[in-house]
Amino acid sequence: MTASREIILDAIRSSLKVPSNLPQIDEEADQRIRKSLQSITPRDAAGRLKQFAEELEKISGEFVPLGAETEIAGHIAGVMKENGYSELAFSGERAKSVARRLAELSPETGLVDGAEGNFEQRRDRIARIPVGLVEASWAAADVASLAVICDEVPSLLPHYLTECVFVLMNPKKLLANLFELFEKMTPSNGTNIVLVAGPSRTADIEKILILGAHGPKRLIVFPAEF
Amino acid sequence: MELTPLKTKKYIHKALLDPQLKAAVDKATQTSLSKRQDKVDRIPYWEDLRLKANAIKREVIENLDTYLTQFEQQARANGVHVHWAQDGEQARNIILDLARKRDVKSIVKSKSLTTEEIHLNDFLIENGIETLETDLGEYIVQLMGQIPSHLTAPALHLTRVEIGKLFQEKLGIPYSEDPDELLAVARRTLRDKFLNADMGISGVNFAIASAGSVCVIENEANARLTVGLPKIHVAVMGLEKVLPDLNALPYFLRLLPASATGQMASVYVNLIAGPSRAKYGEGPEEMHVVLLDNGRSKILADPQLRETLFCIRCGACLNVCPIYQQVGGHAYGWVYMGPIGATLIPQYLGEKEGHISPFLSSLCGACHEICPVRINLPHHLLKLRNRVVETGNSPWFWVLGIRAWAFLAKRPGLYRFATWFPGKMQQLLPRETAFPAPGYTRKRALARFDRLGFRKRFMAEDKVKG
Amino acid sequence: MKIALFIPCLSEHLYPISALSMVRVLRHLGHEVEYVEDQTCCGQPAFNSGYRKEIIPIAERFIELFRDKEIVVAPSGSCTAMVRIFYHELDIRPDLKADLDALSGRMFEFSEFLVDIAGVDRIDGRFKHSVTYHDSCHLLRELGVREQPRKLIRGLKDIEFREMEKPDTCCGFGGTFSVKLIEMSLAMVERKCRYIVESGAEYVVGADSSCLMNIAGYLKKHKQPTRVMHIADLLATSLGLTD
Repeated sequence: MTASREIILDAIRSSLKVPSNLPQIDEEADQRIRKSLQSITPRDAAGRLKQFAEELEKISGEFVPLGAETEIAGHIAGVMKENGYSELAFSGERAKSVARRLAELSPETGLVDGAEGNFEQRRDRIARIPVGLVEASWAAADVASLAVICDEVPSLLPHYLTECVFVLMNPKKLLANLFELFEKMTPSNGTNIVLVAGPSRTADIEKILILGAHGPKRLIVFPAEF
Repeated sequence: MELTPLKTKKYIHKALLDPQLKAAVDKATQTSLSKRQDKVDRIPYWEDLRLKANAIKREVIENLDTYLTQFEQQARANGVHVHWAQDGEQARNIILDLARKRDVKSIVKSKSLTTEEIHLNDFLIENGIETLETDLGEYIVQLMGQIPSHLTAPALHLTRVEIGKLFQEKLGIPYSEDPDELLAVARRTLRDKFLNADMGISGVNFAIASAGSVCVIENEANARLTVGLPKIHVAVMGLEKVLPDLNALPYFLRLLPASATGQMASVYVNLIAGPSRAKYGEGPEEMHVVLLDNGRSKILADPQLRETLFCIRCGACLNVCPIYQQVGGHAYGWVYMGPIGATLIPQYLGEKEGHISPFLSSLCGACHEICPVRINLPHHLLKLRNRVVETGNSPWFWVLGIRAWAFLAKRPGLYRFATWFPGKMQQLLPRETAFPAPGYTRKRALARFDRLGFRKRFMAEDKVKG
Repeated sequence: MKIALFIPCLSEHLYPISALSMVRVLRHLGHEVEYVEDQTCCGQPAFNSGYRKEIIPIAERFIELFRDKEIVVAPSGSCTAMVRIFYHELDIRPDLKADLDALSGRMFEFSEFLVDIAGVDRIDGRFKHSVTYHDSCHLLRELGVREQPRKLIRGLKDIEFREMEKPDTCCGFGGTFSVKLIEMSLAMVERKCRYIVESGAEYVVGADSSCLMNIAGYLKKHKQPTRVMHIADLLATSLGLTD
């Protein structure tokens, strides 16, 4: 196997002995991109939030402008009742406190802590739970992207195994675009990250868009300020 | 299905006689193009993005050994096993050995054209390991026993009726052609497979050298489940997929979804930096990356054609290609199709098997215009046509004809006679004789040689004036 | 300006009238026009078929024939592109490389020349018909010429310009492509002609005789009334310069 490594690297080095015969690179392109981004970026936090909400709607996500724990819990309870959902799996400290409120509002709802139990137990359990309540570490307004840094959440499972997922987004960590997102995130090596933009979907049948492929069919985001 | 680029003309002939295929491909490509245009219109810095992306890819390709060794080092530091495979056979054996050692009975796969390139699925299945595609398009195509017909929309050539019948036959469910219902069936069937699979195999869209992580981009969440649930994750990647660092990623996250599926952003961008069980308490206990050469280091040797390694597999060139639009992907006879496929086939499979592929183009250039990383596909096709000729793979009558023509074109007097001759013949022979390419006039009237020609007319003009 | 004519093969043998129209328009605008004796072919069909070393002598000859000319104009986008863009991929004699670079800066397709070099804002002619325009591939994508022909067409008095659906879709000629992949070429020209007919225009205009030949052949065989015209013919006709 190490032989293959040396053979491949040797082949690469030998190939690269010939310099490229390709057109000249335009060094100014990046600057122009930055300038353009600046001119189309919303000026303030309110602008970013508005853009996030609009973009989320465009990709069939739902933005519910509630920021307080109790309000959020109330909304969740309503949705769960409407759809006949009886169980919810949560992951994260803020999610946990919302879950507590939820427990008060609808005591009959089964609440599962995504962080409890060993992996196989959690996996099999959460795979059969329809609702997730989770947190995002960061967000990007231009494409309504939610960034989850795995170091910061106890479990990723409720994010993608459920069919209806509620996400607590922090408006203070809502950035303008993906470029800013990667600049600000600066994760250390070995960190898993997942970016989520809207509910899962496919257009593999005649290019017709259908929601709810293998992940959530519904994604609801709150600008949670607590 | 066993397709070969050698039979491309036959496949094209068949495809052109299939109105259903044509309608399906036409509709799908037009939909993709208009959705793409929507998004491009919203990105005022689109052209600069293309320039930047080309520059990043060039930096990587021109220093590929450095970036690959950096990736390997960082990935190993993250606990990832890195394997190097010279060709498909080695890659398959690495994965089979691993599967056997770990007593793997079932595998779930997310979309990876690289694994199609090396025929991994069939190999594993032959060796008694259940290997299931989970991307809906790939799942459908696997059930049909076909290869994908597009880079990002594998089942683009099928109608919902065909898919409905397929599910009914292979899954034993009542017939339905409702896409929502069909998806629900796939979701149910595959959910159990995800939960019980021993290994998940994914592709890699981008490997981040400085972080030693791999990026897998998708919409269905099937990759998320593939890399997140089974106890072993194997990521298979072509050598060329590496990027220098995380800050290079947003440029491609902006270009790829718009070009591939007409989205502003793909639903899931999975950045996987190592086996997550130890660190996060969930997910794979083991992670492996297989770096596949299979001809890439050889493509690298050509100072112009190495640009074809910049490809991010978005499929936009397929969507806009007037040839692809008429016949779809199977006509090319290999896993990579369309304009990029036409450049890759002779490079990977050789000029003999790939002697027709570079000619599957009228050189219109629409592919170059649309390529998010600005690969100059028509120029590369021309270069590959030259290779086909230089390796003796051009038919003898062409070689002879061109040599004769070149001989004449250097000798104006002789050339004038030689080009006068067919005109005279045309006057004497019956109309519509179109030797030596009779097929040309099947649906087209033939143009008539002018009895004087420009030179004579111009001189007469000047005589009149002067 | 003193203009040397680069007359492509198709113009020489099949469509000399269009090339002559170009000459008449250029002279009408006050330019001097010269025909370079002994020009044969730029070598594009062979190049596109994959032959390079065979056409090097032809390319070298071309450069030698035209290198001293102030301006070179051709009634064709593809032939102009062959010299301006693709000749640079050939291993020509090192002493001719500088000549080629210089020639590339002085060589133009007809409509490109009129608008970009001769500074023509509009041609003072009249054409009381509806016209649609076909973007030939090399002209559009290798030379970047899209607006210039449209500007010239729109500028004619009484003309009605109609954009067809997807005017930049390839007509399917592609030179030897039309005989190597006949069925595919036919499928493509069929689609192109459908767009042309659907535009409802009486005339379809283009800047390359090769495309126009392909399109005209199909339209004629299918008895379609749309007439096909080279842009040089259009401008010459509008100025009353045709026979």
